[in-house]
Amino acid sequence: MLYTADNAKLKINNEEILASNASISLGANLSPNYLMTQRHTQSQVAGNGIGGTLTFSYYLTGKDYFKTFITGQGERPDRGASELTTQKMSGNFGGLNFESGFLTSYSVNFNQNSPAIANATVNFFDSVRGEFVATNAQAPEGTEVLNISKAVIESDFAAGVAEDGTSAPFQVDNFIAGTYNYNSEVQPVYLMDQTIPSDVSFGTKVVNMNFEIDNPTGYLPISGSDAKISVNLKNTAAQTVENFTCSGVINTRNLSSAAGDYIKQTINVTQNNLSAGDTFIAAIIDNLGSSGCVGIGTTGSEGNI
Amino acid sequence: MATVFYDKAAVELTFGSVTQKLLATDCSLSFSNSMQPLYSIGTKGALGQFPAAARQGDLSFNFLTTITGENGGGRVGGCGVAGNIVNYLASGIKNSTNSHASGVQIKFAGVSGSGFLNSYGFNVGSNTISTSSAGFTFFGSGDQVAPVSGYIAEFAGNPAQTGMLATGVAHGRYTNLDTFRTSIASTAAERAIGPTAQENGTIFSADYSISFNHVPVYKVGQEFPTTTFYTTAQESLGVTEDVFNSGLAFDQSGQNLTMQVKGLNASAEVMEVGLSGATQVSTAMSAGMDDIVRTQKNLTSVY
Repeated sequence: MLYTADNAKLKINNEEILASNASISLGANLSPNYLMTQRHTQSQVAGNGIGGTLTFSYYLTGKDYFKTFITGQGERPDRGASELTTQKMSGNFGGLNFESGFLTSYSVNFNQNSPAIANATVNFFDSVRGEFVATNAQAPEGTEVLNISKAVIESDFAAGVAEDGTSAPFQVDNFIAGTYNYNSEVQPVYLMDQTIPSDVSFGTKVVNMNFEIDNPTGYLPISGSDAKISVNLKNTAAQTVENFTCSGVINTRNLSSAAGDYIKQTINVTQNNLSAGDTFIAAIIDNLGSSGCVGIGTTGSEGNI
Repeated sequence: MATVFYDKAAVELTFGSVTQKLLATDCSLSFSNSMQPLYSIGTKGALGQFPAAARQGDLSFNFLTTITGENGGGRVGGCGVAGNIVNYLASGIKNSTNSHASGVQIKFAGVSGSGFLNSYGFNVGSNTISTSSAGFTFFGSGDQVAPVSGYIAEFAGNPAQTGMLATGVAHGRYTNLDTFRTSIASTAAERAIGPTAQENGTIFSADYSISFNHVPVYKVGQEFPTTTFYTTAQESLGVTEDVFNSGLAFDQSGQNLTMQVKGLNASAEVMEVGLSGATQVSTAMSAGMDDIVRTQKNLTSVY
């Protein structure tokens, strides 16, 4: 039996994704087992647990659920297994499902006048369960897909140094096109006698933003140059509904041209600190619902102790 | 709703301080967006239709190749030779070393826009009136200027001085294209054997065309281009004559040629079109019933 794309819904954590395409792959880590003096073998043995990847592209229609994993995933190791549970993604593609997936790459393209499309890759360290079950459903009505033509870019660049040693402001008048990329290392941790990981190890995470800009310059100090680019995606009501920010250093400049084309300059800004914002106490509410004082004591003239 | 007859649907171009009404025989304008359906897996039907590129317009028209007279031709601005504004514009663009392109204002039956010339051509044939064609693309610019604006309204432009135009339309009668004919030099030994190939061809007609490549640069957060570049141009001249050049070289050399197009007044000013480094790239021959064997050669120039 063959099916069409209409027949397979993609769900992540039981939320339906408006994906334009999706692919799921599953692989066993097998390697041939040779004995000395053998050039041929019938034996293949597992070298690691089973695992796979789910790759999909989807339209951004508002605040992106997956973006929360960029700053949240792997940031509370003190919570141990309970935190791991909350960071897991379950996936279901046409009835085929997995339980322990982790976001390993994520990107958004900012192409002129185009619908905003995000691409995500989820790695899972488990087998795929379930059976393919065809579904028949009508596309939702009233969906608004965000368009890059309504994006607003804010930027902040550190000033450069001119040839004569004076400060030279880094001016960007036009952001032509770009991408926002996120990559994370996630490694499974297996216990003896188990083929399913008992834990995962979160490695480094990095966000970088490539942007084609105007005003070509070759200025790039050895320590990079501080930069911040923020892309605000707006809906048709001109409300900002999603934001992609990369605040780091410019580590690459690229200047290129080809016959029949204009000179293109791209910069790459890399951000390596992706932890969520610092936690702070906004207010302490007393039993009457009022914002109380911080500390122990009274609000009398003696003040807090 | 305005109902406008063709006599009130003039085509007028403004380039700099020069405005000229073309003697257009037809004109068509199209304006389109790029709404595309988006589909998601797992559902039947489209999520809707969404824009995928900027709006764009196209305008094309055919017109009489006017070269002299007060209306529809004559000297354009400070141009040293006669011609219509489209020829003047094409000549200016192809010889320009400035990459930043600015469109020309085009008005047609009350609808106007800033257009970038993408194609221009004309033909010259024996004893026939020359006709030209032009095509423009409307990109719009910046965050405010849409490619096309206005509505259908009567627009006749300046009244045509038909008496002055009579001698101002290019015609094949006095247009001499001998500089474009094929010449074959036969050797004395060949001539001694018997009849030889005709040494100089006779040109029956010529079709000239040029196309321009413009690159609009769009940026994030804005529909219309922030700037538009002119990059390259390629022109072609197809000549119909009666000499077949079997000696077409693998590495054909180019030469600078100038086409002079005249009206019915042989002593009046001519419209010139220069072909820089024109290189013959093809030759062909064909015959039909009740006709002579005609050959076609194609010259191209690139900018």
